[in-house]
Amino acid sequence: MVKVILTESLAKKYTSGETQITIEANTIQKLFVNLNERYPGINKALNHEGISVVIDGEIFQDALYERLEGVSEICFIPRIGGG
Amino acid sequence: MATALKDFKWVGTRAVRPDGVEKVTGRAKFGADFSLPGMLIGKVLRSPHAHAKIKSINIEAARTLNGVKAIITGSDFNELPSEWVPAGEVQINFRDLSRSIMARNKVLFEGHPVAAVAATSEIIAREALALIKVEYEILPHVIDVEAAMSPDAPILHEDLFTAGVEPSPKTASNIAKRVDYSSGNIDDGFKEADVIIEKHFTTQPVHQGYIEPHATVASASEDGQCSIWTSTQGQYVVRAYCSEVLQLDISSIRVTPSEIGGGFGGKTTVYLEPLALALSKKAFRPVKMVMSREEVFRSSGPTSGSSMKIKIGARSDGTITAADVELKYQAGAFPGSPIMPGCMCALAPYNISNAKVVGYDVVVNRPKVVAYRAPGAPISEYAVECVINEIATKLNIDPLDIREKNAAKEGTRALYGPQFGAIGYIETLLAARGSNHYKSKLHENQGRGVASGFWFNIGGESCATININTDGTAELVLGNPDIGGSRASLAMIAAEALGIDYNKVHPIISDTSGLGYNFLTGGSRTTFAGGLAVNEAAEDVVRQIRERASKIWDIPEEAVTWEDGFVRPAGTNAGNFEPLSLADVAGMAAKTGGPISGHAQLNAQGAGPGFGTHICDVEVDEETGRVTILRYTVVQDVGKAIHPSYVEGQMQGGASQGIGWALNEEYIYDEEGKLQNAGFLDYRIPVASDLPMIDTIIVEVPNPRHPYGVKGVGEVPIVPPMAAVAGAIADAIGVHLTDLPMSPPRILKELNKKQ
Repeated sequence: MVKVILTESLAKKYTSGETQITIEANTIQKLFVNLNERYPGINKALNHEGISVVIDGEIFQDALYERLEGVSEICFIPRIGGG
Repeated sequence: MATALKDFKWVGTRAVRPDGVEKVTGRAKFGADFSLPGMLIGKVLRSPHAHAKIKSINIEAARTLNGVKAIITGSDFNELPSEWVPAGEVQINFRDLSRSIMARNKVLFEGHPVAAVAATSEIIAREALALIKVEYEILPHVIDVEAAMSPDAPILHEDLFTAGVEPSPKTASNIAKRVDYSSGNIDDGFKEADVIIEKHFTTQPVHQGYIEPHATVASASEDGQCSIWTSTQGQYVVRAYCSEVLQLDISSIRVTPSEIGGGFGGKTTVYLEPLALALSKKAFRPVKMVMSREEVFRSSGPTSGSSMKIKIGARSDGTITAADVELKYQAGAFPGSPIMPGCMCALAPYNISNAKVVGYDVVVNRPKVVAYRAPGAPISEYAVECVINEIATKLNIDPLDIREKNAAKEGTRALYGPQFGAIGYIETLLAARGSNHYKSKLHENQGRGVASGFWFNIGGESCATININTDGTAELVLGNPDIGGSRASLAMIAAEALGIDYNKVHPIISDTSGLGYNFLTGGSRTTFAGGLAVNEAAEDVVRQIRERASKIWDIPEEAVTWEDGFVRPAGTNAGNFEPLSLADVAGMAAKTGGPISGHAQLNAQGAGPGFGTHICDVEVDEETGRVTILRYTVVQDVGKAIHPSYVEGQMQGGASQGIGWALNEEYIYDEEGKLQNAGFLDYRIPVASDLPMIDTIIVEVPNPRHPYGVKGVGEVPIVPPMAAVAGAIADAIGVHLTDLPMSPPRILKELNKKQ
């Protein structure tokens, strides 16, 4: 099981206000599938302008196929560019 | 990967830059230096109005002018769907990008391109522009972010509805998006506070101010193959954007980056490249386009101006109990200000239990903003840092102490979600406190300010090739334009990993055909991500060298070791052979399997966040309002400085740009929305005589996810200066200013109010 941290606004809209949820998934791809099954529409909201995935504090720009064995926490942030 | 770094031979030294002689002798080719036989000159007709409908464009007189070879208008571009799609590392709305570089039915800012001409000379091209007749219906315009948000504001886009609010609005608005982050309960937090400061701040849009204007040459041939030579931060990004905007196969476009006279984020997009290519595809001759400085100001992106409300509460011991932040960022003519990173960075240096940040992305009749060093962060962090300084003053606490008390450290959860790993924020505060600068005395009318800053730093896609020559020298092929010294830093990593002399490594920047995709030079990523790729490519070379040595010695590959630039038998059982250098093995390459070439391609993860703390001393002339920067020190955690001189240069450059943002830089528009100061005479960036030597203190808390501990450098140093300067002015005159720039008239006004 992986802990997923959501922003309050996402939580308000999709998870009845729960900002921390636990979910079963062995890859980020599967995590998205399982999240969307439990909270329909959340994937579209997460991916609107592109996201990065933070796995145990480390930002992954492209994490779809990252494996989650041994991972305890996931959160999502907008994709960061830079100047 | 290593967290405690060993001593290196090349990494950490101040090696001579490989591109130095080319640049000081004038041999280096910048964007406008490139020419081709038969080349045409392209010029752009720009809107004289801030907001208007285009009723008609008549190009007939221009088309028949002798010497005119091609004309394009909005009708030459495909309409693209309005959607955010991936383009390399970033998401782009190509409909907006296409409409920004060439207007369709409306012009949305003064300077918005409405047509472009290619002709046999610049004089003919200009004459042709004068012959193009555009009939406009002028519309009301809006320049200010607060005015653009009001219900009766002129609407820029009838199909723009605010995202991020419930229920979804039914009427169009200039507010493209609302975003928010929160944790805890701010009401409870403010109840715990002994002191609460609430302030409104404004910042002005500021330009990246690169010395080299945009310049490009494009050449399309009859078989559909296209070449572009351009001044850019990313040749692969130019290729991707031109491919999308002009609907061409990626493989049909080859982009070669020139040397670049500064970018700072402003050359992460395209302006001229698709226009020159579209003109060349009509004329089948090369087309050169170079912006004037005035065009750079009127039509290329600055960063956002803003309006911000900040409320922070703290206990009497300095512990911050709550923060409430509202940010409104100008996006320019199309959605996409850096409001998200602005929100995420605003409170990132601090561990605050109760916090809320709300942000708005707002379109106005100005050029679309584009990235500028740490996009979004300097704006929001300026306001927050100013309030923290004011709380420190009110509580009579040293401003470094209040920061240390509330500082984020390893394990702190940022408001935007993740917990920080190995960060060096507190180390920068301690180094600042221990500096000679901070211990020095001030005199009358002088003041000292401090401020801190945060930026994420990123990784991303990078490739590298190392070709080993038969004499043991190496060609290092890189895919990122060298803006801040990446040739040197990456060659040093290659030399270190290969165990050869740095001067034997020759770095070159490839065009898009020579390497796989590389994301652009930006996001403080090039030495971090490029360094990972170069290190892997070097490991590939070493693997091949061991394999060749095993053939030469006729022993198993695993019986060959690599150490300090030599292959050796792993032990006496492996055989009694003299060690071979890389040059020895490379000299026999043809006999052992052919050329030796190492390659790596990766998507770098694990970038380490960057923190910095700045100290600024100023003197305020109470008669004129002029602020003189007396002394300035930049302290920054960089992970590991591969080339300390370049790292210091980044720190000094960021601070200089931030000081300009603080004191002088602003766009001045007239009542018709026309820019009045489109040149460096009237848009005042700091020059050498305005600044003291900027001191630097490099803090090194290594990034455990990089073999050399690199974190990224270039963006953090532009974040703290505005608040550091504001704090110093407040210390000198006793007034906390809130509106940028803190120019002499504004200072005088505050001094007069005080009297």
